[in-house]
Amino acid sequence: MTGQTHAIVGALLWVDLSSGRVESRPIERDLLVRYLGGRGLAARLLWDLVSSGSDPFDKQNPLILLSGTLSGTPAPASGRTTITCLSPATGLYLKANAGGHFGAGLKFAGFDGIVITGRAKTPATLWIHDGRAELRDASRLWGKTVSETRTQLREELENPELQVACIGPAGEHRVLYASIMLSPHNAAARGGLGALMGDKRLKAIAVAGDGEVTVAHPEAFLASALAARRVVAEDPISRSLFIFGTSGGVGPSNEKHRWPTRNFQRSRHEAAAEMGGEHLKRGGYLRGRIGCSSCTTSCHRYSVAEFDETCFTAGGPEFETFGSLGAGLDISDIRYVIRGSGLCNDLGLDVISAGYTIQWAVESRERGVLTPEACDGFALDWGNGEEMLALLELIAHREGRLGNLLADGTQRAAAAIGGESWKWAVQANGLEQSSVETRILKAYALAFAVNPRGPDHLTAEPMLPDFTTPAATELMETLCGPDVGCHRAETIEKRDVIVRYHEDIYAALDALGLCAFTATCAYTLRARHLAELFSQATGIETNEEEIMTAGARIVELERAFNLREGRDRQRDMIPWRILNDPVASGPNQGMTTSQEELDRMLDSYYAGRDWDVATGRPTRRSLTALGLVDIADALHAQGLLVGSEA
Amino acid sequence: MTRQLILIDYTRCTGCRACVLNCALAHVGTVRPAASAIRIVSSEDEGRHIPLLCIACDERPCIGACPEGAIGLDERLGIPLIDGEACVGCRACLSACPYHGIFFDPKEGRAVKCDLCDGDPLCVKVCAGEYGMPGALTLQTVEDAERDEDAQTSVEQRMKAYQDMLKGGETE
Repeated sequence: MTGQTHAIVGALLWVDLSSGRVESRPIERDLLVRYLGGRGLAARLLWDLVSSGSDPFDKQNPLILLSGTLSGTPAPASGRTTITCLSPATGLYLKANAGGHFGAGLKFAGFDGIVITGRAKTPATLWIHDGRAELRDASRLWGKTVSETRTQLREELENPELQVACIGPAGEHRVLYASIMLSPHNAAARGGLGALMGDKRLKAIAVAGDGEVTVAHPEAFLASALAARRVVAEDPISRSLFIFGTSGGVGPSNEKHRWPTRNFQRSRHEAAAEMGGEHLKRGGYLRGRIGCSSCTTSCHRYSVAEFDETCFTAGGPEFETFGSLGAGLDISDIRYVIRGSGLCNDLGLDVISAGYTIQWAVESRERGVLTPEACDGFALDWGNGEEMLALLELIAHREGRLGNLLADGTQRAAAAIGGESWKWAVQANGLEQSSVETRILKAYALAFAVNPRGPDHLTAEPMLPDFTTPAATELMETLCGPDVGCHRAETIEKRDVIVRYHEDIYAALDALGLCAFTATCAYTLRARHLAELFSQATGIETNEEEIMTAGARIVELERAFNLREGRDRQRDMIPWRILNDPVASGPNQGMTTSQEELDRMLDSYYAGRDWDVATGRPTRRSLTALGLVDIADALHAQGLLVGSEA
Repeated sequence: MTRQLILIDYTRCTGCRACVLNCALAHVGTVRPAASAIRIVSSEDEGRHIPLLCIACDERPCIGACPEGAIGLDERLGIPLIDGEACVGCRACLSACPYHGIFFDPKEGRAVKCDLCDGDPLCVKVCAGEYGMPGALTLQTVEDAERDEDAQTSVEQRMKAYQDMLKGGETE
């Protein structure tokens, strides 16, 4: 196949911060065909660039930022950007993904992505404009918050429309859950990639340009993009997300006793009616809705909280913010959740890990494991909004003994203070779990266990069994057949099928730069739509089967990467508390997801991927079927493949 | 045909720029935001987004401002249109428009403005119609718009918000 490839610019910017060298290199068309771009392409680059067993902070290890293949086009909700590295928090594969307009802006500035290696001698900003790139001194910006950094750069570079990706103080201090912010409220947050950016002494990436994104078949693509917009926009879940945001889910979760409260000790909060998207709107806290590039849904919020006539404004809060900084800490005053949301964004902290680490500290104090001396004068009690805000500042700057302890996350903090505190560190593989009741929602439990970056909802969001929209019902029947028993959230039957579908399509969405809320959540967008958009935009013909195969290929490659870093079935885990401490109330009172249940789901899941069931490792057969023979050879050379065909 | 115009409620705009990207692709066959007839000016720290585009005003100062006579009133649509061939890119029309509804395309070296997509504007469809949700852009007949006093206030409010945003940027 010949001819120009459209939709992508075709150029990656390679930056070595140690030498200060920047250079543009083309993207091989074959890589785009196999990995679709974005997350897939970044995963391949990570595999190629990272040698196994290296320290995440080894300065040669890359930070890879990639726009989606459809970023910058009118494809629906195409505002997602992926950032990939060896995770400082988990030591495993990490992709974190954020919305906004940075990815589109990067393409209009002349590049699809950036591969950053090395470490700058002094703080630096990468300034990319109209196909050129340069490193600038960022000494003046070091120590600044995210919004200060953005404002100063816009002034310094005399461009009010500059898109800025940057770290806050948390990244500079290598907090192991520091985020990279792609706007004042769009966070690539999980797994500590902000700490890696800080370690490289890269404060910010600023982009601007009047470039273009070409598409191979403009008229056909425009028609397909409009049709795809319509199917997403018409979905009832999309409408709900527009009206109430992600935190519209707080009320329903609470009613079902699936709303993690006090560090997963309870499953319901009595003041939930004063939290969440409905209350944001009704109580007058909601000031506006925010849309990522070409969004159909605008689920993000912009909120305001008043304290003694002082107004604090913030992007969010999201469902997860209400979980980690609200119910999780037993804080029911919505104003603190709004302020906490804004503070995490501005300091560059992952709201989930920050909230759950503070929750762990409160429970540790309560159970007497964290001694009064170790509390640095903090009461560390439940429901203390003022302390939560103070602790976020402390953590972001690693101030004092407590700030420094908590800045490393729950796994390391529990190891440091000892006792049984590891049992209420609601984490696995070093990543704090998001606010999902995985003792009840079995599909999530499985998805979290196999998630390459740790237990959260952002490589697969399998809410399908719970949904009754026409699209969800139809998809459920396609995947699981007419057995209505599969619709129960609590069953472990066919969770493997549901999770594999979500993982594969999620990987394809991340590669294309589309939001997960288009094809999961709103289940209206399907692989056939993605295939149509990809073909017409790039000029590379594909079909729905190939899209799903490419998604599976990305999942397989990420699994292979993690195997090389020492993760297989032994580390497909969920937090101890989910396995052992039962749900405290409601219709599912007493329920856990036991190791036995998890094992049964894992067995089917591995079998479904044609992986070795005993070890959970990809096999030569599964790798070859996805065209990853070179990966199989590499794993074989390291003695990591099992079975007769190894 | 009944004259129609695009009404803008900036308080509903979420800054997604679906209008900008669709407008560019539909008009020049490539996604070049600089060729779009709409701009969204955002102040992310305030969660505020302000769409700028031609509002089909009655005064039409752009027509008189053009030294080349490249802008003329389209009687059927009731809005001024730019003759791209005749435009020399002097930007006099940009300065003359009190609503900041005309833009300069640096690649083509000429001014661009809304042509109402010949009466069926795509931006309105993706914003408010069957393809999207925010509803910041709506199509109304001129008669309805004139009867709607709120609509008139909204233009003034939007321009004031835009000026405030510019000032905010300078003083920060």
